[in-house]
Order: sequence, then structure tokens, then C-alpha cells
Amino acid sequence: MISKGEHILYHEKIRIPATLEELHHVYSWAEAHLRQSGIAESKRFDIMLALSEAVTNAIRHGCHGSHGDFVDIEVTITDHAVNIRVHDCGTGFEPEKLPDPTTDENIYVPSGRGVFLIKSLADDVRFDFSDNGTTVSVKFAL
Amino acid sequence: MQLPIPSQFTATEAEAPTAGITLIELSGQLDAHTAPDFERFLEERVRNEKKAKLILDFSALGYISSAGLGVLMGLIEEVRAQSGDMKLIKVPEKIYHVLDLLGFPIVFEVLPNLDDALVSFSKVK
Repeated sequence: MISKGEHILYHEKIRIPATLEELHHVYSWAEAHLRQSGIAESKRFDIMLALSEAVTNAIRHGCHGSHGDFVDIEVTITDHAVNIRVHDCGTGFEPEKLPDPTTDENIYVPSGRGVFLIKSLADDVRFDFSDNGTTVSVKFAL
Repeated sequence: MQLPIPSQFTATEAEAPTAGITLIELSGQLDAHTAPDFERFLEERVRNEKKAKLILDFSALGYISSAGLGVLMGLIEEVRAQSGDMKLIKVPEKIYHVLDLLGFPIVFEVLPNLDDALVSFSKVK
């Protein structure tokens, strides 16, 4: 999702155990680098929220909360965008079949808002499903 | 890699501003990890203590994910079945934007401050 001519300012990958306890560590890691890159607070908030939703989905649905599994997270900051990739070992899902959580029939349902939120906040979202697992790529233009 | 100490989420029942109304102050990060604790906290008040008129103060809440919002949505009908309601106050602009994207202001009354929430409850027959 990095366009020609963009200059990479920061790039790092981490691997975390597939447990929700790791979420706060992911925030600390990502927030520190976004802040150092001079990204405005309101934009950081949206990026962190999308990251949280993507990692939560990877842990819950990709790895089914299974201890021993891992989630790979990659953050790339360029002079034009922040790119996030979250990979899990799950078999994936059909994004186009997820219900709209804002409709009358779904609004009282407690769950099912994560992907909708990522799509609403980000400038570009892609899902890749392969034999190796599921990768969600999220781009925020700067 | 040495990772920083994670931040915390807390939900605290503040001193009751008016008899029959419960003020709950939220702070920190409410996400998929901390949402189950928040859910238990709210269920204890709604189901066991029968507190149904709740005001949630978001002013110190740094962050809320869909899992945290799901806790509110999962209990709102139960609260209203007890002739109560959940009102959200002092919601930071960035969090309000998320609420708005998800249609929450259609379901929840979002008010500027405690006085407004108390007035709103006083109007309910």
C-alpha cells in the first residue's frame, strides 16, 4: 500500500502472543512511534483505534483466542501515510457479508462493529486471505 | 523488546449526585481486554444493586474500542426495562466522533455535563 515516491520514515514488525492482554503493549509501542513521527493527536487516535480493532479481531477470530498462536503487526510510516498490517493464522471471513451495525435491526447488537469502524476511519482497507492466514492492511493518509 | 508499562482502565462509582441516580466515572483505555471487567462492573450495579439510572462520565476516558461500546449497547435495553436509562456526559470530541460513526447518539443521550444529565432524568415520567 506504499505508493511510488513515498519515503519510509519508520518501519517495524513485532510478533505478539494471541492474547488480549497484549493489546496495551501494542498501544504503547505504536503510540510512541506515531508520536515521534509528529502525527497529530486526532489522527493518532483514529490510527490506534483501527489498530486495536484489527489486532482484537486477529486474536479473537483469527486465532480464536488460542494460546500458542501469534499475531504479526507491521507499522510503516512514510511522509504521506501510516500503513498497518495485521496478520493472523486464521482462515478469514467475507468482509462484504458483514452486517451494517448502524441499521435499526443491528444497532442493539453488542458486537460486530470492529471492521465497520476500521473502514470508517481509514482511507484504505484491504483483506488478503491465503493458506498462510489472514492479513488486514489499513492505510491512513497524512 | 522492552515494552512500556501498560495503562489501565478504571470505572469508579462516584458520590451519588441525587438519590436514585448513579454516577460512574470512567478513565483510561476501554478495549477488548478491559471491557469484560467493565461489563461485570455495570452488571453488578444493574442486576444486583438494581441501579438503573446511570450517568457515565467519559471525561477521563482516553480511548474506547468497539468492545467497550458493545458493553453499553448490551445493557441499555435491560436498564430501560427497569425504567432507567444510561446517559453519557463530558464525552471528548474524538470519542464522540466514534460514537457518531456507529450511530450511538440515536440510542444514547450524550450531554455536556452532569447538571444536564440530572435535568434530563428529572424530566422522565
